[in-house]
Amino acid sequence: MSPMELDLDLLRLEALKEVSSVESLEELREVEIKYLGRKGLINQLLKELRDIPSDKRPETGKLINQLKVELSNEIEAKRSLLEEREKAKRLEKEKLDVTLPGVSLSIGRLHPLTMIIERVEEIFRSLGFTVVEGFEIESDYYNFEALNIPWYHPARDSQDSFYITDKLLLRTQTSPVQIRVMEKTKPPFKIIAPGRVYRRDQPTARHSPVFHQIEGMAVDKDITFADLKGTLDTFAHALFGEDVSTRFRADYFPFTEPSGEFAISCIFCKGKGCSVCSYSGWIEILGCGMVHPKVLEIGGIDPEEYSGFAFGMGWDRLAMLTYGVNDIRYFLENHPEFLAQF
Amino acid sequence: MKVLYSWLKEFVNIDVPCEEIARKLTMAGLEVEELEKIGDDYLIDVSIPANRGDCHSILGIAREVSALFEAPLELPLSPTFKEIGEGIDIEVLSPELCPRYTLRFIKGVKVGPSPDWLKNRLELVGIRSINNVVDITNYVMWMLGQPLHAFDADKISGKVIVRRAYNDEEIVTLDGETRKLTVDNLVIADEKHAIAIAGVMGGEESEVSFFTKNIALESACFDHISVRGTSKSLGLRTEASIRFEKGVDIGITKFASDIATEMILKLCGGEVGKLNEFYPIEYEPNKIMFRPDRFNKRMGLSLSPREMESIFTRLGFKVEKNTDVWYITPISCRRDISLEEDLYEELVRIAGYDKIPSTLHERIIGVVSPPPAWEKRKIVRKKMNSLGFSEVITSSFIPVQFENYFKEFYQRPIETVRVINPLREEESVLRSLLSQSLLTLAINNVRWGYNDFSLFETGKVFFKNEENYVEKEHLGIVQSGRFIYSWDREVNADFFLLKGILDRLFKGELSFIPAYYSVLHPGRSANIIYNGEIVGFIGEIHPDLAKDLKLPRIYIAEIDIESFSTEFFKTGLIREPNRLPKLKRDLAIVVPEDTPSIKVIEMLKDVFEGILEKYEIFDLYKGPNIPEGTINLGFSLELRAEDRTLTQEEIEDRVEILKSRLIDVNGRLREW
Ligand SMILES: [Zn+2]
Repeated sequence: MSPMELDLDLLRLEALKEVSSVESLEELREVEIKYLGRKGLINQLLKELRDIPSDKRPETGKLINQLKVELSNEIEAKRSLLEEREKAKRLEKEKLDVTLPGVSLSIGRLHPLTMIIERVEEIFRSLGFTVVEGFEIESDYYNFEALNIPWYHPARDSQDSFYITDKLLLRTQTSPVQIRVMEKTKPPFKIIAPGRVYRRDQPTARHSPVFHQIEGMAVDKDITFADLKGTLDTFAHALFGEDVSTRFRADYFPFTEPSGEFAISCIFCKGKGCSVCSYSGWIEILGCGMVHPKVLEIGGIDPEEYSGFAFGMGWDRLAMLTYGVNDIRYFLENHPEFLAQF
Repeated sequence: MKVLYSWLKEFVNIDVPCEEIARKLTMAGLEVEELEKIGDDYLIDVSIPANRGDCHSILGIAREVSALFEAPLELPLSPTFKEIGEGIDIEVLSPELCPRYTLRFIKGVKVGPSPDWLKNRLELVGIRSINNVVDITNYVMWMLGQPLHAFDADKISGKVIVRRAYNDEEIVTLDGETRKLTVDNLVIADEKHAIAIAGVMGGEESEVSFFTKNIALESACFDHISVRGTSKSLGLRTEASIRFEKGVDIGITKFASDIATEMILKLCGGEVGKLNEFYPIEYEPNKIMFRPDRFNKRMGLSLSPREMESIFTRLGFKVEKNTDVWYITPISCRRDISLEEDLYEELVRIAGYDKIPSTLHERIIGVVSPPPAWEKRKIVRKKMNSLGFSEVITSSFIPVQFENYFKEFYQRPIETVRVINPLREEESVLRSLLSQSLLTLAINNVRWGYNDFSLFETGKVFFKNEENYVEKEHLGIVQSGRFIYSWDREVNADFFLLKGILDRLFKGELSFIPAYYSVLHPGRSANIIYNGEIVGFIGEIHPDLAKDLKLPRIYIAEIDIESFSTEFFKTGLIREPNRLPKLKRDLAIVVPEDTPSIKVIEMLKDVFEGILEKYEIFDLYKGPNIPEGTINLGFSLELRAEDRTLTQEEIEDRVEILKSRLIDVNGRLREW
């Protein structure tokens, strides 16, 4: 073994040892430069080839090249190992405590009263009804007189009004829309009129001075009481489910004749009787009837030629029933904990 | 109206369980609110609709039960007795308010306690026993629906006069109160003064007491409107006034007097004197045309003529039958029936609403587009929800002290709408801006311990403009505290967050100019402009007000939605996506620090017209690297043409133009 060969062997052992002992990519890079760099030990050996006898040159040159290849393979292998290790370290560092809470975002919610009315509107619109809206500041004429409720009528007792002037008040019902529609529209028509109404009632769990109603009205040449029943039956089944039963009973309203009250079987006790339905098994939903001939006439429609039906219901109450709300005042109070549940 | 089952059965021969009677009455429009078992009897509490004055009596309910169950009605016979001696003269000066008046003199009665059976019956239906004479008048009223009044005849001077009160005439009523009357009130008077308020309450002076020997028994029919007006204006509702205002049967006046007289004779003794009566025009019931076919057609029903006739007869109505057109004469107590349709209700009421089928009106009729406000409200709600804001619905009434808050928005003095008869004085004002309601809500939220909220409302505001009352649809937004947050980040409510919300909602078509609002932070408030008009405002609640109200920083915005067309919110025709490459160019622009950024933005829009797709301000810098009194705005532009690929040269050409334009505003481009 020539001295050079001996050197070569030592160098190889030294280099492999160094490569295997490095712990980081930077160190590896240093080792790489030391042996394989432009001015590295391997290149130096190649330069020294000139100094050895020419017959030995090819043999030694081959050995040096073998070493170069071996070394660079080793370094590459080590590099990918170190890279893997560093990546693992980095990922380890990026590890999250997945049990920490997520960012608090809010979902924009609709108010329960809106959710109910949108559902109700959708049902009636699918039955061919058009939405119309009226004024909240109404005249005594539209709110009472034109609806067959003269000033002396006892029905005014239950609708104590907030007055703005002698003749102007905050409407106590959505029914004035009936007159306004008849004055402007030639039959046939089917309308619903949702809106806010006001009654001078002390606020309690059941009564709010500010609440909401939806009015419905259909006028045509051959509208019957049976059509009213069919419309409201369809509505109740769409809103409360196919399994509720419905009931019509006689009632009195000055602007309908005959008048009725529409009830559904109690959705809480299935008609057996509970506190919600006052142990009757029925929950009153709305008042309705055939439009009073005087009201048609006041609206400019000939009661001999046309007939119509009308109904009106409180949607605060519908929302109370649908969501089991016990106090009507919750709706306008807007307590965050209340609203967050819808 | 409380009805004893045993008492009811004295008028109708029926033998069905009381629960069944209650059920049928309810279905026929006389809702039984409570059925209470008392020993082997029942107390039925019936709610009487406003038009059924006739049902404020056992007899009226009995008539209904008789019709509903086809059970015979058993009317008491008219009693006969011999009248001895004279009566008390009567004179009716206001016949328009008193179409029938009777007064019977009864001499030598013994006033004392009532027998137990009478006391018990009255107490069960809710009437306090006074003495036998008064109890009998109440008993007969409950039985027949005719209010009666007994006077101590010895307290009456001369004749009895039915007249309007004089203005400021006074009377002490039975309850001991002094009542001041007007010419609108009808009184019963003697030759000296008023002794009773007609149909409402008797006077204390002529009250029947245990010392009374001779009585004058009044049975009369007073005008329902007049009694109602008097009862309302005096704030005095009595069992008598309730009956009169709903209409008392004019046909029963004398009959009721006779029944009561008979009872008085039996229980109090005495001699019957003469009954004096005023009844100039005898009541003639209406004959109402009835068309059986039209009835069935309107109801969607097929009742046979036989069934119809049977129901009318059971109700006590007279029927004149022809083939197509009938004439029906209702019984005199049913003053609520005057039209053909009223008869329809009687038929379906008694036959049962369940007999009517359930059909749908198949003809498709009149689908018109919904009102613009309705459509806009729906779209705005949906967008606000998707921006993370929740809807609230608040009362139209606001605290009086907020009445003038935010009113600078209107640019001119407007009058607030107020209610003249509020429930509570502090809730008499209708909001002229939603922000007034939302500020109220913010106070509540903070009081309840909720400081993070992002809320909106769409609703009406009210004001008076000259002589007109105006209702307008507004959108109000209120925000406070954290919007997005966790342990490692926080996005808080602030002016620019709220402005960003409005930019998204209104498609960047709003502009903002500083504006003064007394309740907003002077440096953080703006009017919102659309199409050259002020349509809303935005700002932070003034720190002074926030301190007074114990509020954190609250941001509020309000917009009049009616200033926007429905189309504005809707999606119009779309354009093709631009697939040409985008170029990015960042610019650092240094301007004097009081320059509103909108000025620079407008300049950029102008210089890069046609190719500026998007701009963003990513940096605002003031400090040592630029001259004092200037500010550096870092803009990032996205540039793209519709029809060609932009070149770097074209962009640099425009940058050169920008450089020269900036000189006009004492600004310059800062080179990197
Ligand atoms: Zn129930």
